[in-house]
Amino acid sequence: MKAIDTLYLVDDDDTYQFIVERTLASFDLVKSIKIFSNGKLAIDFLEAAIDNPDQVPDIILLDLTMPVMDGWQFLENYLLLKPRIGKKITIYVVSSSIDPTDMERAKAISEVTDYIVKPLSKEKLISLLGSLA
Amino acid sequence: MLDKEPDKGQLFKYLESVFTDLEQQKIALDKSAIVAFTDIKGNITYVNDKFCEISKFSHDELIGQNHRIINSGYHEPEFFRNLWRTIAKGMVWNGDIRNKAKDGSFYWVATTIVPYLDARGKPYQYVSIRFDITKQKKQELELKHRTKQLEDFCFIVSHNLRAPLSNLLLLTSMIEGCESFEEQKLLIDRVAKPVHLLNEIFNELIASLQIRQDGEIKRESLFLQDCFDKIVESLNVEVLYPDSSIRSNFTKAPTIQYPKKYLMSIMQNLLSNAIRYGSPDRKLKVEVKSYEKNGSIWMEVKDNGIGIDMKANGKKLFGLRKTFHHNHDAKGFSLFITKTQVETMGGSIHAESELGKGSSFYVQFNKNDSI
Repeated sequence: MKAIDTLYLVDDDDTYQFIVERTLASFDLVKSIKIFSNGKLAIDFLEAAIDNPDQVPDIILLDLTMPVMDGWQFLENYLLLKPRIGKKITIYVVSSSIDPTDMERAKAISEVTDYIVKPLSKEKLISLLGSLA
Repeated sequence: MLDKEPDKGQLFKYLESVFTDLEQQKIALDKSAIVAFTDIKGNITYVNDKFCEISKFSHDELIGQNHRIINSGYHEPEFFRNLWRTIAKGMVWNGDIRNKAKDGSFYWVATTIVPYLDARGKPYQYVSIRFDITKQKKQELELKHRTKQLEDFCFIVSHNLRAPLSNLLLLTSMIEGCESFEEQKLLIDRVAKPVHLLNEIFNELIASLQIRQDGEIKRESLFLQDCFDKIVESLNVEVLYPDSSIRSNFTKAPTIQYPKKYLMSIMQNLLSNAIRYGSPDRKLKVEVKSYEKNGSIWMEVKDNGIGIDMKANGKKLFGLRKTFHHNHDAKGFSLFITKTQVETMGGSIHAESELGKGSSFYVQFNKNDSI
């Protein structure tokens, strides 16, 4: 399996950040992982890195409930940036919410590839990345 | 029925018995149902006492008026178009209608409208027979509301518990698959945080469910100032937030009849909220006071914190919320608990706020609460 170049993890839960980071590291699945604790930090970074393909992610794991800028607002801002991005980005929403209104809302956004209810197990994470490579 | 050509006396007797029967049926109907007759344009030609009673109009106010006089504006125009189409064709219409009484109050009636047909089969008047179902409709709406609340509660609880729980599941499986002792130690250290979070969320959940079971909780005579001082002490404000100024004035309404547990909890939640959402740009100032207004005792908690975007979050403020993981104090239940406690005791709570300036919470403890 080919490794993925860049992954963004956008989630405010530091325990979860730690878990994903360690899992990815132990399998050598991703060359570079960038972690953001809210949507604003991620979107600002993406905008600044837009002309630098190494820093633009191949995949984004996006939480919904975050302070400052939540996952929905991130997606709105991402749509505005998208025309300027010269790379295909796959976005997975990874959330603790089982509210069907959240699920339907996420699935209605064409940029969102899938909605995953936590926990995102090691096996699921590997298969997500595998489908991308 | 008469089986042979009757003489006058027999005919008279027969008609008399028919009229008596009809009269008895009318009495029975008037005793049980709300009855009105209208002409084919919907102008009222007859109403019974029950109609007057429920609509609060007098007999004279109704006769000659169009039936629209009791229209509540609740139903779509299509609803009444369909009704009229049905009865104009000579067919019976059934349905539930919300009407408006003279005093502006609403009532629901299960309605049957029957056209009276002439020799050519055309309606020449309509009779409507209704039954009051206001109570059932209210219960139905209340039930729908409660179901929605329960559903939301379930989703929020699931969300807030799922976050730390899934971290624990993942950490456990990592620990199991881990080979070095060093690595294991590192992972085990990470377990404490989600476990504590889970425990706190669970405790708050229990507390919020507890309120619903309290029902007939006892009121006692309490000094607001005493309770507040205890809360300030328990929050360790002077030590933890030495720069903050917390002022209280309960002289205008010093005592209250209230459950101690609730009063303490309300004060604690509002004060810790004010402290938690203090602005990093200025020293925290909290002013708490009680007063009497419109026969009720009120408490106001005013801060100069970061404020709340009332447009975006005002409606959700007292609801259950999905939590942010980074903020350990905000587990999403505290204002919900406060509101539930206040409302259980017959009071109300609301907030005013401006982003960047601060927030004020107003608790109306209970109506007509005397000192």
